[in-house]
Amino acid sequence: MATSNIWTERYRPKTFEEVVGQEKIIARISSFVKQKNLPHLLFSGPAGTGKSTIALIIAKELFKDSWQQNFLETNASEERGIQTVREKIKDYVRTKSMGTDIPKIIFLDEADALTREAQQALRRMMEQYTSTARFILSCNYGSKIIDPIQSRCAIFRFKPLEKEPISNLINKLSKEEKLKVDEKAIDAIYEISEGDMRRVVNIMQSCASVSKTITDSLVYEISSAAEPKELKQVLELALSKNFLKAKDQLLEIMLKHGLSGLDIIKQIQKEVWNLKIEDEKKLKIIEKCGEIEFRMVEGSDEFLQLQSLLASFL
Amino acid sequence: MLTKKYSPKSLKEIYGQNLALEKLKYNVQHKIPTILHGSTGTGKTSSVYALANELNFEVMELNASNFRNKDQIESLVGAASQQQSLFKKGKIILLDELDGISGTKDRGGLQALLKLLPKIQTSLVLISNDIWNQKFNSLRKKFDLIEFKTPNHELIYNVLKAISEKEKIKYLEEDLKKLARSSNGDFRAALMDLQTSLEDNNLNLDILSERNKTTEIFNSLKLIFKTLDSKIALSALDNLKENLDEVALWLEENLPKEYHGKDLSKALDSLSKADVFKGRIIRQQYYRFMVYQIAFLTAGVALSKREKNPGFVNYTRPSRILKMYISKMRNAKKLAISKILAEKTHTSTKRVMQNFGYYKRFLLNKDIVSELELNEDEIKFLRS
Repeated sequence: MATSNIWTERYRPKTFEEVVGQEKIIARISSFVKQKNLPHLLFSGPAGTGKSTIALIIAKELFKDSWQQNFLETNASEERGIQTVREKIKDYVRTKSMGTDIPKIIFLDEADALTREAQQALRRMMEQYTSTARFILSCNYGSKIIDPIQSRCAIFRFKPLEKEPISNLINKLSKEEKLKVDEKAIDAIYEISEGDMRRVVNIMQSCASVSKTITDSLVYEISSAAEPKELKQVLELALSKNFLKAKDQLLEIMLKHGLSGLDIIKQIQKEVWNLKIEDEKKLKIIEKCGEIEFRMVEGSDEFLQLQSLLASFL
Repeated sequence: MLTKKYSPKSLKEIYGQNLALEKLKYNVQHKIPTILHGSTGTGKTSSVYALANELNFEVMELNASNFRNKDQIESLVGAASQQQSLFKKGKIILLDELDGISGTKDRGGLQALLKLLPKIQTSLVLISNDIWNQKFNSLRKKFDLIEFKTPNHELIYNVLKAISEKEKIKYLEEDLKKLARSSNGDFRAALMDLQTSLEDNNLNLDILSERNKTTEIFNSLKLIFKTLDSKIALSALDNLKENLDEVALWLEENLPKEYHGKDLSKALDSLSKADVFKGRIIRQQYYRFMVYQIAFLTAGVALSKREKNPGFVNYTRPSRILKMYISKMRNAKKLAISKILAEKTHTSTKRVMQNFGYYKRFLLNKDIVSELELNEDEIKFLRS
């Protein structure tokens, strides 16, 4: 396959050795692969820590040239209903692998987006088709995967990457792409990435499209243009009792960046601590955030819930 | 019948819609497919007939009672659009009561219409009360939308008065005002009420009480916002035709006009609790929870205020759905690009959307453009 022009693909590790920062997980998994005996796997952890990459490597190592015929990747956040599980996945697992005895692999990315019904349907399939298929599920929050599925999987928890593997990656990339990246820029990229490798690479490619010399000020400039940071303004509007404007702006941000209510509430929590109000009030708002997040999970209308959070600032 | 006698015959007799009428006339003459929308009794259907009269056009009307599915749409619209009119100068195909088309049962009807659209040689006018309904999503894009504004009660009063004078009806001014107000901007209803309240050409409103059976949403809002009595608030939704989701949206939209500060905060908290019960109803299919949902929507909101706002507030239609729709259109290209990227890079569309600011900078590289096979429109979007 030709190399991609998108760096996250071009520099995606192709062997277990190339994966950085997840040594313990790699050790266990590569021994499964060596014995050609893979249990169902559940990868949980934040974005950009290597979950999909490792799933892809497993398939390539197990099936070599025929990996694409024996590997199905679906992203549950695109098709999250029971229909997908019943039709697409079931059709796939019912037949035997091509050209090998090793069970084929279904990689279900962002499995925490699957509805409960879909997960229930999946659970039966995991038992029924063990002779023909193995499941690798990945998710951000393990708690959103129902217990019966968790109990059928070997669970691996991925942690955000630390600074060392990230700066190694940055150095490797700058060598390959002939970029100049100074120490301060590395610090900046690390800080913004929050341990997310995909983001590191995207920031680098973004910066490189502007200049071959990457400085910390370029990094901040690019990221402040890219990050939906207007949220702070929304909070300030609400605090200054301009509820209507705050509400309108919030809706606009959500729609423009395709953010869900939960995404927003996560960011509000972070932002609250930087507001110019007394600490006591900050704590009150945090408490309210928690309550609203709970109601969001229980309720039906995310935007309504967020409005009620904003109104509590008044 | 007064409604028949005074239904507008010419454009001059349609009140308060000058802008809309001008636009309609232009569209009909230039064969621009048009949707007229607005609440009932504002003159949508009448204006099409009045216009046809004026232009010496023929109207071919198909309303919801006779057009439904794909085949019917095709034969009716197809035939109507191809036959020449014998005596008239032109022809208007009018599809009235669009709202009556069921999205599921009459599957294919709207799609068939959309498919026929490029072939239709005549002026095409559709009429709907609720054009923002999601079943009309694809329709809205292809048509020019003209809104018929809901007239205020003073305008209706003036018309009622003029008619009463002409018909030599004996009336009390305040009774006419009452009629105008209770019509909620519906000319037809106002005329109907006038008709039914006549006893030997005397206006007597006592007979009328039966008519206003379904409460209009405005009245429910007023009850909830203006009372401090939980019982009154609780019964506010009793005769309402709108469903609870819509009520919640209306409340949300208009709350900030009635309540401020802590009151507003408390009221929104109450709406939020109502929504939690709605979520539980959906997930557990346990409809008893509706009792609690209604309690928080009505009494909860009503009792959130310390005192009522004495001023008159003009309640407005919920704008959130509309805003979401507009933004969706605006973001359609971003979504399309994100989908392609997500597939290429083993991630989800949602995650790409969230980091779009980073991607946007380097996607225009010509190797990437060809790798992702982006089309002209998408490239143009990335450039802007």
